[in-house]
Amino acid sequence: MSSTAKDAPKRLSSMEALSSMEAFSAELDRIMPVVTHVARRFAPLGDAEDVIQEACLAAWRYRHRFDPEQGSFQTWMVRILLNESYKTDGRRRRNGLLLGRLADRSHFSTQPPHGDSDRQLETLIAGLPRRQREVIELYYFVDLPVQQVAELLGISSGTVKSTLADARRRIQFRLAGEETS
Amino acid sequence: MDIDRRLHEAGQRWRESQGPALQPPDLASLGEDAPPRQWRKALAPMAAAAAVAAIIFGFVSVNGATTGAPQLPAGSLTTPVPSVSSTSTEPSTSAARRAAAAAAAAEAARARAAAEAAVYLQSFLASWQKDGLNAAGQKYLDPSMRADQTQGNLVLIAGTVTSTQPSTALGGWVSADHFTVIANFDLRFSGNFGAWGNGVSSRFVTFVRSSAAAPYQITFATGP
Repeated sequence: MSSTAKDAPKRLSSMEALSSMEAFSAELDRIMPVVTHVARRFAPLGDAEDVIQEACLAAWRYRHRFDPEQGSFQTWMVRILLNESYKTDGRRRRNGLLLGRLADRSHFSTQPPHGDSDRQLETLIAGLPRRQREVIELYYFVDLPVQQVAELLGISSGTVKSTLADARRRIQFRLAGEETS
Repeated sequence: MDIDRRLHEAGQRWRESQGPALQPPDLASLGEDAPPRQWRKALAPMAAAAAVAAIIFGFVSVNGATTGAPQLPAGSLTTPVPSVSSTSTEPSTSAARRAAAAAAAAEAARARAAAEAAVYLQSFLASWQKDGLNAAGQKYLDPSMRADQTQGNLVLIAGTVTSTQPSTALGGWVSADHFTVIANFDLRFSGNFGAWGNGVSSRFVTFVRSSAAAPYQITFATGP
């Protein structure tokens, strides 16, 4: 059975645990379901696989910087992945291949699991300010617990909860506006 | 429905719609101290530039040696001097360089076309929003698409092209005057939205024009 994001990630007890390639690869394999979801939510169109490759290689290269006291391996890895996603997104914007601020949703739009209702929701999420979008994506779609979202974004759990509430209010407000128009 | 519950359910559906997890790279194949790929990416063009410089320098040196040699009296018999550069390898090196240059040029042309396509599609959406689909269709769409009058009453209130990418489907790349891209849109309709759907959607879009000066005629398809 594959691990889910809400499974408490096993913390590596020491830096030595990551120094072996086998142990490192095993840790990567364990968190790949979450890593894949994050990449598919945050990386630009068609770049999820490349972003994962870059992030894994960067993590392996800089494994000595991982500090188990600062958070789980999954959190550290996802943070690298988010950075790679934003860097890739920036490169594509500079290359003129990506227009607008909206995140790509091709993986969603080609096979919408719940038709127009989810599409409408996705559009509203894409229009949120970046921090609100990040917490919504990580909490509801990647299915990370509040504590991990907080660790990942370097903010407190309380801030995650209030940001979630603000984002929900904004989505609700826009949904109501669209339904009445 | 409660928005929190709706988001949880949408997230659940999205996760279930995703395929299996992607695979991490094979770290063993990179060696224990493999440099980061960013470095390798930076080194690759430098190595290529050095190789090109070496070829050019070698070519100039050999030419210079030949042209700088003392002229022999007309009619004198000479033994052919073997060239310093290997004539057997030069054609393959030149061919490889030409192929690499052609590939780079083709790649750049595709990227330019995709960027141009995005701008063109955005202007189509603006025209659709301003003048209606029928009027915009006369200007932008292939005649086969214009014939579909059932779509003519779709009222677009907002439309954005979020991205375009060169596609290999539906003919892929033929030339800068005939190519296909995958385009992602965010569209908002008032009332009926036909086959488009409100919100984010993707289409294969084929661009054809008779000459570089003529406007593109575009065709939309939902699949290859």
